[in-house]
Amino acid sequence: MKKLIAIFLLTSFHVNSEMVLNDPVIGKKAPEFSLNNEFDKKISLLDFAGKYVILEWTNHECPYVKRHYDEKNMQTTQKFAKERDFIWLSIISSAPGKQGFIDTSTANALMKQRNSHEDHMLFDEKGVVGRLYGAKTTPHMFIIDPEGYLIYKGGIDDIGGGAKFFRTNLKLANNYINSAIESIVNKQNIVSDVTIPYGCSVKY
Amino acid sequence: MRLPNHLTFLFVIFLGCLQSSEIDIGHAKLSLIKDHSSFIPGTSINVGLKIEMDEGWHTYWKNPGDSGGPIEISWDLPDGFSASDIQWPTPERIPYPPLMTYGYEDFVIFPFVLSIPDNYEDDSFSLNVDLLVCADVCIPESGIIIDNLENTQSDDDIYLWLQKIPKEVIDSYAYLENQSLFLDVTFDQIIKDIYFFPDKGSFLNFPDKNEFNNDLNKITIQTFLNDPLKQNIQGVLKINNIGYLVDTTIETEIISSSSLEITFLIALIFAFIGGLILNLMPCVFPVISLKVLSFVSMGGDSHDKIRKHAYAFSAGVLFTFLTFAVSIILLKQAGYLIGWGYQLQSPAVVGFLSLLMVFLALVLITENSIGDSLTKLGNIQNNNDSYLSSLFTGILAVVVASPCTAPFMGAALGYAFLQPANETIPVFISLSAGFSFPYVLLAIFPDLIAKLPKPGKWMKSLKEFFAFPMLATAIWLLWVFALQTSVNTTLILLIGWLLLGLNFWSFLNLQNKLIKIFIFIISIMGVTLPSLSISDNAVNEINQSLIPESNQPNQNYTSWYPGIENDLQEKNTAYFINFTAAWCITCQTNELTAFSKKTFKNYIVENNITYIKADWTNRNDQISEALLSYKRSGVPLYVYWKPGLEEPQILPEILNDTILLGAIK
Repeated sequence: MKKLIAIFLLTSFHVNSEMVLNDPVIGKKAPEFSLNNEFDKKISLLDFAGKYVILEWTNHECPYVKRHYDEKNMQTTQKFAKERDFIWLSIISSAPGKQGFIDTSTANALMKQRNSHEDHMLFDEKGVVGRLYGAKTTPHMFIIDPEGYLIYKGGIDDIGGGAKFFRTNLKLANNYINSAIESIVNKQNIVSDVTIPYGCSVKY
Repeated sequence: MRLPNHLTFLFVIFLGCLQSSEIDIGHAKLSLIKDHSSFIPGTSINVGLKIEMDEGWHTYWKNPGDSGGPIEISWDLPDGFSASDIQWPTPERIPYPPLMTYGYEDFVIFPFVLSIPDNYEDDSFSLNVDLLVCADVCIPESGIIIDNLENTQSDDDIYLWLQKIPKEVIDSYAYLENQSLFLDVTFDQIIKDIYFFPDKGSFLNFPDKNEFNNDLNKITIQTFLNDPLKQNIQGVLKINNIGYLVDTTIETEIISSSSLEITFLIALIFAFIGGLILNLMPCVFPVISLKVLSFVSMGGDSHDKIRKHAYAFSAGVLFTFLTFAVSIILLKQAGYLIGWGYQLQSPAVVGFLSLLMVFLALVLITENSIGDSLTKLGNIQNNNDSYLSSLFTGILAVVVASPCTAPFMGAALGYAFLQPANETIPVFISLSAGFSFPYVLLAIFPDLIAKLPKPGKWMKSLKEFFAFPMLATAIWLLWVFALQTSVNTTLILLIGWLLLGLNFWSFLNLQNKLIKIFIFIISIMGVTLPSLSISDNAVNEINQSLIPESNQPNQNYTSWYPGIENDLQEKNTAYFINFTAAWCITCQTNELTAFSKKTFKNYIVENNITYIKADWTNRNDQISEALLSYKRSGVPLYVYWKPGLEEPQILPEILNDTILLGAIK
């Protein structure tokens, strides 16, 4: 009977995770996932056990994402992370036909064109991983530590959404990811480990 | 690296036509309108920014929900004119499952109040608008409206949108339970539809609908709150399509559970028993033993003298406990969250106590009585045969007792901290009565002393021996101090120990008063000067160590965070929470005798029990609140829950591996 209940709970939870957004908790294990990358190769979070992993939810047509890439803000952050041996995964959760949905060749072209430094660009067209992580916006950022625990979730910086974003100098913003990386490298605690993400909605 | 600052995707449409007040910015048309009142100098008038969007497009409320962002406007008004901030009309829910956004679909008017000066020459203005216009995709657009204020068109629509601005504050009561925010409001009509739009900056989830109970005109809205530190909640409550303002503080609901409930009478009894047992706790024992020894040595003395000593001691105990009680009540009223042992969260107190311990050790190993030494050191002429010394011993015993929690005390003090002052004080009185009970007994029946072992040479050796537990306590306090501060600050404390020893020696053994005073002044300077310069740094370092070490997953425990209990209960995972502090000697003893044992470690691994630590060494209001929720005011507190248990189980304060395993099996 106990087993039955457990199975029931597990399955109902599973169904749930497909329907609604989860909200992963800081200090707990980050959800596992495996997705195909821009070369159609299966990539899973476990591949990077022992390294810090940064997840970036993205949608290249979203004006917020566009601006972060057009002004090289995202590339600079990616470079900063890579130089410190962090893994950077860009995840696209746009559903087929929705804004930001792309195929592998477009992904390769995009990475070349904007000269970005992500290790992999991952396709989550069913939105399963996006829902598991509660990805709401593009960009929406997460950091996972070498043991697989979630240590940061939130925005790329403190500017916030709205029209104001497009008039604010990105270089003057407090880049939460850069500060988190610095804290990790200096073996300090991340001061802001939960921040409010902003940007376009993820096009599930 | 350097890039031009212009934004390529921003469509700035500039209309040169001065007289046209409507501009088209792509998916929306913007215009400025006013109400029907005349444009009279010295008055004010309602104006509105009218936004006509393409069908199916929307723009956002001040809190956009999961994505997007609010409109931004800036006025360039002629001299004397001024405009209010945007008055936000009650928004609508615009769901994009699984996301939720808040805003206005197809059409919106943002009203402002425009003040007109008594006289003006120029009424030309420009209004800069940046906004996001979104369907399933978002486009940031902007436009500038340039016109003359008097020319602004009157438009009936503005009245409709003025009505949509929430003005009435609804009476509400908000509280947190199981990480959900409950909002109780009283409303005297039938509720067909209700939804709470929280203001920006709250870590609330934005659900597609709010659960509510329509019972006795009392509505309970349940929504998930991510931020346990949030103190108050603001937003708009939309009932039957009308918006009401909500602005209220969040009450932290104490988890009420019958198994933890105790009454006033039980609290008094527990306090008495706890106080009695406190005599035997490791931090108090050496001090108490001294008192006992001094009673033993009074074997032949008059009953009157024994009685007076016992009363003096009890008075000291009572005085100190009451001082604690009063300071706790005052701090509570000042809004501080504190608990038993809170004073040890201050490095200054810990440092002082360690110096006191060193001092006592010196006294024990060199002199016969603390009172004698004190009077000698302080040159106090004392004919009262040091009743003062008994009083001091009483005070001292309670001061050194603060790191210890005896069994029964936890529950009683927890009760006392939660109650109003008129119940807090009696609990503390009962505690001091329990603590001094053995001595009061001696006072009533002085003949009992004859039953104690006969005084002899063994007493001197024992007394000297007690210097070593004292020094051990001092070392332990030094360790706590080092955890709370830094290496440099700890060094200053150690120099303090050294200078204390030097002064002790000089005052007792040197004849020349001038040299004594000189050494004393030099010592004071030697300690105070560096501590003044270092205090700021020390505080910073304390703040850093306040951050839980949750980022070290290879530790064998999980760091506590608010709400972890509910998270684990939802997952049906058994858990054990160890509320502890470095300065809590009972906690440290339990670490040794129970938690570090292999049997316990293996058991929790085998049975998949999550082992959680909540470290209260430094001030941490979240942990204080959690302790209060278990009706405790201090550490240690051990909480165990496994699937099937209705309420978490509270374990005894003093543990060994057998008790521990027995309890959780």
